[in-house]
Amino acid sequence: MIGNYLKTALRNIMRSKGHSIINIFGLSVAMALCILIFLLVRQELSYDGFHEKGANVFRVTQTAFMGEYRTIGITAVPLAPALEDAYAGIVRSVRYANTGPVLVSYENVTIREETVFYADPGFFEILTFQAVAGYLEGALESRSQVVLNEKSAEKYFGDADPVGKWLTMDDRKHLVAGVVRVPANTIFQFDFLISMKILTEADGNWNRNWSQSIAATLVELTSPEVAGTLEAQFPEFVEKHFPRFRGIDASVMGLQPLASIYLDSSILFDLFPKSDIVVSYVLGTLGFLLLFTACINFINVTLGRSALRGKEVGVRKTLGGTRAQLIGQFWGEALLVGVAALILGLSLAHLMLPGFNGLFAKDLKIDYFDNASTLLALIGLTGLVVLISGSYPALYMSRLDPTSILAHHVKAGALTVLSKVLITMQFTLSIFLMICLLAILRQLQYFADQDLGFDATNVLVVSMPDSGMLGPMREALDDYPQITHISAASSSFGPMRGLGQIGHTDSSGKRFSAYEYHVEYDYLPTLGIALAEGRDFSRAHATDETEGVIVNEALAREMGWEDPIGVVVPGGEARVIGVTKDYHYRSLQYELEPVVLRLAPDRIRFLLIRTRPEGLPQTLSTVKSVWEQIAGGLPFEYYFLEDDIGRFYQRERLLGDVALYISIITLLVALLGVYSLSLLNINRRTKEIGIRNVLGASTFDTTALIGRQFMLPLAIAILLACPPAYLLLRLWLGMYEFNAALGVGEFVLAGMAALVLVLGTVAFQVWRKNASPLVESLMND
Amino acid sequence: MIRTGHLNKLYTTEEVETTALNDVTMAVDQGEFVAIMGPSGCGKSTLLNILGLLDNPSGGEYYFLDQEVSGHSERQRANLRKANIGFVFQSFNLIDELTVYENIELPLIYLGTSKQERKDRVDAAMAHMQIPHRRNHFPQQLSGGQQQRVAVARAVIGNPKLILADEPTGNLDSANGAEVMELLNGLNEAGTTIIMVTHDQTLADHAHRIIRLFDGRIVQEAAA
Repeated sequence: MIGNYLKTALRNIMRSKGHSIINIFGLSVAMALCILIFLLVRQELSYDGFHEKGANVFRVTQTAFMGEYRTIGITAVPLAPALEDAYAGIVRSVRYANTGPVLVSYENVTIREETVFYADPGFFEILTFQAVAGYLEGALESRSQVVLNEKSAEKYFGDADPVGKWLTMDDRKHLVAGVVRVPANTIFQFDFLISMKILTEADGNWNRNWSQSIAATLVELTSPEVAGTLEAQFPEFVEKHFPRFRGIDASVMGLQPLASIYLDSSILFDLFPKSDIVVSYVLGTLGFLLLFTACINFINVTLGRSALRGKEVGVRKTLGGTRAQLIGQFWGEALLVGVAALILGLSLAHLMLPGFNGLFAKDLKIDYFDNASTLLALIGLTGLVVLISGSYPALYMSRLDPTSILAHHVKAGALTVLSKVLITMQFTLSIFLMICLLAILRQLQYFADQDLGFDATNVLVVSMPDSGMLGPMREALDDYPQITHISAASSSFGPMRGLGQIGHTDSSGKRFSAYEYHVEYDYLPTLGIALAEGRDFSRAHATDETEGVIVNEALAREMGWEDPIGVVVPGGEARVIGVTKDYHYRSLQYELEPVVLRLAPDRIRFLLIRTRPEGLPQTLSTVKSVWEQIAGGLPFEYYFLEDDIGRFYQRERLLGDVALYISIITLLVALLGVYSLSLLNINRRTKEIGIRNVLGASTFDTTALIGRQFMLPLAIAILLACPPAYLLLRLWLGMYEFNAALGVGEFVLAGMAALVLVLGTVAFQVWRKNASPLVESLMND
Repeated sequence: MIRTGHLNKLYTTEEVETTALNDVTMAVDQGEFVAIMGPSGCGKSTLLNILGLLDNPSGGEYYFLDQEVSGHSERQRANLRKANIGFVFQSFNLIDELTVYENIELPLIYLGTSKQERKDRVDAAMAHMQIPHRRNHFPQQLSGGQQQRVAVARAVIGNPKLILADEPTGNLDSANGAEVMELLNGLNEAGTTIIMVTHDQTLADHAHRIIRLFDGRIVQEAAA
């Protein structure tokens, strides 16, 4: 019996190739995207779920006042041992820290490495990592050992065994103790891991410094339930150990489960990579909706062809086929289509994977046999497709009355109420996504058009590990005509990169906080930042280096300073010598917050060079050659400030790209449905169209005739799509301090685009039909 | 074999109520060949559908093989149908996606017959109908006469007690029509009960008895 069903199904698919291709292609595109989204979401949700003791491991957080109370992910170095001593519920504590780039040398190769982390010896005891060479246990006991990840091992040693070899790291020799496999789904993405003792034993101050937070503190508890008890006891601990550092209260300490660190994007100053769980949910929802949209095509086409298949249903029923058997048969057909779509979808997923990985900066793989959940997901996905797309047609077709069918009382191609509802849902989703896409693109354009208050063009930023290089570099490049200004700073612009925070609470309880940039002379002209009042730092004023600061208008405004020049900044001795006009040193997502610029030549890390636009390659080459003469082998690493500013909006661009691709695919699937249904309708009305054509109907008239059936669903879809799109976009734009106000343009444009595309699809079908000889239409019965 | 008492069939729409059958009382004995005649719309096909357990009457009694079946569910009717009744339609109603062999085999699949037995019986039926060379052809590759032979083969493959034929020669030329009637006569002589709906008096003359319908009522019942 099953063989008979399959044969019939296969021949049906072959017989109606056009509809079958549309069904299978639409489903396969949706399934391909669902597979990719599944891989992404699975990885996002699986971060650090593999550690054997993971359930007992927590990260210590602290909440501090930074303009508002924010939870931060790093803590002071002495915290970990103090906690371990204070609470019996803590089995072990581990610090994990990164203090900036390290120069790593092996033989003749020197590379500046960003991801060199320090960790306590217990790191490999509370976390489960697999050694691929050498050993991990005890590797961090010694100050002169290092553990590499596989990538770094290959980078420095190629195919040779790195264990037992010596690497030079910032002038210290480190013996490679082991090579570790660092999975993609862990927050501990270190390339090199060295002992925390290097930090704590080299400089004993770290062990007493409760004011400076540099390390993530991880604790292993006796059981997860202990966390609540400990948190209740933390206020007393805070009171005992934490000073009120420059006005910032470390008022609350908390424990965050290891598995939730990655998905919590609210934590500030975090050493760990982060994701936004909302992105996973949104993608998952979009994937499901897209799959549903593709299933709608299957349902509609099956219903549209019900009369053509009806004869078969009638005959089978007449010959004794029961309803259950017919339901089984139609589900079987859906299964066949589902499996075909899965096979094609998997091929498409493989093709799309590199682009998808690029878009999300991931290295996902379709691992059929390494992870059982992949096969389960593929089976589940196919099952879902069969369930959604096969159920209603199976129930509908099996319910058909054989006497009506065999008497030809069922018409092919007419839209049922359900079909209209389903088409409306497809259109609604497509229009909703189009509106969102247009709004995102508009916001990105808004970002590009905004005056940021400084000039990011033609500014070369060179990473400078040694602040002592500034003088010689400036001297060597000073006379070069293509360079107009040279300065330096502790941090470049960007999302909180290297940004310091200062704060103070005065006796009246008034809080003051600001971001602090350490800069060099000529900082303002180099970046094109305008002064509102006062003056720039000047070598003519010797006190500028010790007690002069420049603040922005936002700070003066917040402090209520009507005449800020000469005012002493709270919590220190520095006096304001100048006030800059406000400039956006962070993304336009954020409001303009107070900034303090302070001269500190010894704390600078980035050389800033403003060049003339012409002859840039030559200028770059000159700077590089000067660097090589002065830097003594330090790598020349540079970027342009404009590119760096562009990274502010990476997330928005990603959102735009995702919206673009999903909109296109959803629209494509919906249009395939329109194509299929209009084809069915045209075939049903072939004779009528022929007669109309004989009487003088044009392609336009026929398009209007056939397209009419889609107009009501389209109109309803526009009405349904606009309110949620408006609410969602208002919510989204509300997250940006500076945003392009939502206009009617996006809504009108999306509606018009949908109308044009639907009518265009119908017109194409009509045009194809009209291209065949008229006599064929008239002979059709 | 078949006995009806005061059968009615009403079709009701929002605006109109149409009486397709009105107080039809009749009986058909095992081994009989009965022709049902009447003008278009008189209820012939409706009566055939009810007798063939494709539809339930609106009222009255229907005894099939001494069982009252007028209130049977679709499943009960399907079980009785597949075991006892074969159908031959004017428009053949072969499944386009199945080959000749597979079309004939279909009732045996629903009866749960084993694969080997299906093969033996289908081969025998095809030989009997002189179409073994068409076994792998699809319906659209056959002439009308050949298609109706396949339909007859499919109708008899399950050894039904009753064959219902609705205008079985309506779409055939006279030569092919005569061949189909020969087949039906042969089946009847072998003991199968046949009820045939027809417009054609010549075809009706093959039957033992003719029942004439008009406006849903039996107006005449006579030997052919």
